[in-house]
Amino acid sequence: MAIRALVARKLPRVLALARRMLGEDGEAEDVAQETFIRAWKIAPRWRPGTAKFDTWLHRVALNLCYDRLRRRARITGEAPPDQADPAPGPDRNLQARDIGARVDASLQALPSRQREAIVLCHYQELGNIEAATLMKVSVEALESLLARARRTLRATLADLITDD
Amino acid sequence: MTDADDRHEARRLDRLLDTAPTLAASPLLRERIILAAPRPRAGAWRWLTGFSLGAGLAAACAAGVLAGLVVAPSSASANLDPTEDAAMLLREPPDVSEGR
Repeated sequence: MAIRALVARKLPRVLALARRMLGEDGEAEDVAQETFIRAWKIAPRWRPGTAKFDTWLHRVALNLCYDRLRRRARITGEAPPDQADPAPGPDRNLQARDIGARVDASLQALPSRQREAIVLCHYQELGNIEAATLMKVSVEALESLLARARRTLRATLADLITDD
Repeated sequence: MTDADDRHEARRLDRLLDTAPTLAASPLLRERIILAAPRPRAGAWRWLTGFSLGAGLAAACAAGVLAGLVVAPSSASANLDPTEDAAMLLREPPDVSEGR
């Protein structure tokens, strides 16, 4: 019962993080499942006070996401983009679903570290200090990643932002 | 562009980001994860039989009192968060670098 409650509470956030990082439902589910399986293996050796459970879950999920992103890059022969890929031209007659898909595509086009910063701060709603700790960067570096990511997203989604 | 325009654009971007599709956890995924969770070891109290009668009875009494103290507040409190209870059972992981 306790395990079920723990999974009910933590799984949605882990799954959301993986989905935003990977952009693909099946891979996100695989990452979420593997994250918890690793948690169960570690459980007998857990010691209090070393790290927060949520932080640990985030870190494991992100590491697994990066493993998949590197594998994807090896298979396709493409390096992950250092610069954001410009989005397709604007189409003003978009349904809400299409807008969401375009936003998702713009997120996936971001360099992975910028996407990670946006995912942790905007979607996971972590504070800057916590997100920077997870990413093993300074708060200033995190804020720089966020600023660049948001600048890129504003540019690629400019037509949607000015539509009111 | 003024500061107000900047803030308006930032809020608009935030709202746009919220339109990106989410992925709900399917019951199948949830059950696979739960089924993979560790189970209590069978015969966890087997060690009691290795003691003499006096030590065994004293240990059993102490265990019963402790179980009662642990269970009673949980059953009495309607506000106990089950996820906090679960976290207490699982305790905290040793290192955030685990998982590589």
